[in-house]
Amino acid sequence: MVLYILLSGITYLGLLTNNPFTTYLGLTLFVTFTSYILTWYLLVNLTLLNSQIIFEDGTIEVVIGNQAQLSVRVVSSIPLRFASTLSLLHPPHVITGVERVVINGGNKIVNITGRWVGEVYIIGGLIEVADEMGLLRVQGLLINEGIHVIIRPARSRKEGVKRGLSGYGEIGMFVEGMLGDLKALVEYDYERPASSIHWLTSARVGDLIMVSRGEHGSCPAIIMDSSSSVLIPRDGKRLIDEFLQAISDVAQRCPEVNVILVSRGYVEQRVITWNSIPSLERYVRIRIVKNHLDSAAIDIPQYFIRYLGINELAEVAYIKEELNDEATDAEIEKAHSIIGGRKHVLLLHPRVYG
Amino acid sequence: MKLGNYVAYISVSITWLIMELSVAQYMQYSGAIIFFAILINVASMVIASYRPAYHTYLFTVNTAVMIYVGYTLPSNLATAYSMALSITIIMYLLLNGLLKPLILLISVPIIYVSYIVEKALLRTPIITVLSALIGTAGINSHLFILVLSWYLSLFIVLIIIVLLVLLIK
Repeated sequence: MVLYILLSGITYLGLLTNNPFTTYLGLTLFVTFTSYILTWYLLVNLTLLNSQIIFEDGTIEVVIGNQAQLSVRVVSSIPLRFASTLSLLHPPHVITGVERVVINGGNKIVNITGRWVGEVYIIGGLIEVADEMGLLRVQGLLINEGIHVIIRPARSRKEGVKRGLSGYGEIGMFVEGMLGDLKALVEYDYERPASSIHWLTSARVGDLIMVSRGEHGSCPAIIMDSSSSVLIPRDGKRLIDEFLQAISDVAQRCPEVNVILVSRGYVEQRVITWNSIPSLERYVRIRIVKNHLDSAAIDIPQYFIRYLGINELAEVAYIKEELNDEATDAEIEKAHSIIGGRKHVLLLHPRVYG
Repeated sequence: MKLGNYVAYISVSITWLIMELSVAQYMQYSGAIIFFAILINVASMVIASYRPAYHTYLFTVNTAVMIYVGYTLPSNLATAYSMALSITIIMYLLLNGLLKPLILLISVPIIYVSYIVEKALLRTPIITVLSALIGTAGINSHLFILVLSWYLSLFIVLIIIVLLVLLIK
């Protein structure tokens, strides 16, 4: 803008003072810069329209709080190279920066930091090209099939989580949980590992006797609140991450964990393994986001949103306010009835953790 | 194409020095102007040699001086001097990587199209009427019509290109 005011100023000075030199100079530069900028605008738009974003990896796994690397490149069928900035489109579960990439300029390594536990898709990127003189900027939305990012909870048990698991931390219970409850002593099956042989009894009866154990041992059933309130971050931290860390601690010693999801008017039982914990977060989040897409926050300029389908929007949208859908005592009672007579039950609810 | 800022600045400065020496004999009022212009140019080259980071400021100062020199030149040199100065400014921006040579080259047809539109506009009756009106107001009608027709032609080309971009989007 300053440049154009200056050039127009030189031209008008020549006009007012009847000086042909300044008029010619101002006009020549004005015509040259304007046609340059118009050409640049046309070429950049053509290049962006024929561009695509390519992720080199299929799936990325990262532990919460840690970093992983993603290789990305932007290619166009128009053989021009433009320096640009790229912001990846994803929900706030991962943190990425604004990266400088060159269109048709090879791969760029992007650092991804796992912020929250979950399973998300990076559906593409928002690319911005600015001319070197800073006169014009053009933005483009590049969408592809998306790259799958899994953010796993930490393997180690955290101090804060012990609170929620009080009564399950003793070594004896831990081993019992891992191996399963002792059901009976039976004759040794030679296809089973020798570690299952109960040597004391074998010595007493003079034959090989092994321990037969139940599948899940003392694994607790878990009732987890899956309302919007557990997804809302407070000081950057979400309740659901604490819940998932607690489930992770249980899942490390129990191959399968019964998790009852509860929110207002909703109770559902799911069987979770350690590997499927991020999917549980995704299941909870997408269920809420799809039902309340209008009140979700989407970190994409408004004029690009119309180019995205509901599934793509649900991938990058995030709940921004509580929907008053917290589970009441009625849903928790219903969850208890589903569990039946289980001895150990872990309740993950905002009233307990909040 | 991006040379070192220092090389770019010195190349343009030397061209300006040649231009200043060439026009020195045509100065209408005072030789002091061209003397000071040469002095500032040479001093700027020395400063740029020690502090290449100042090349932008030195370029701006010297451009202003060159424009002032051109302002005092006789009318018959206006076209040649304005073209030479425009070329050196564009060269400096090209050498510094602020303009891309390929895009500048591709933009030449747009300038040509604008030129054709400008010539067509000059033949329209409204321009003739405006020219007569401006002449009576005491403004140089030739310069005014030149500026107006170029602005209009560029505006028309701009609208066509923006519509084209919107269409392909």
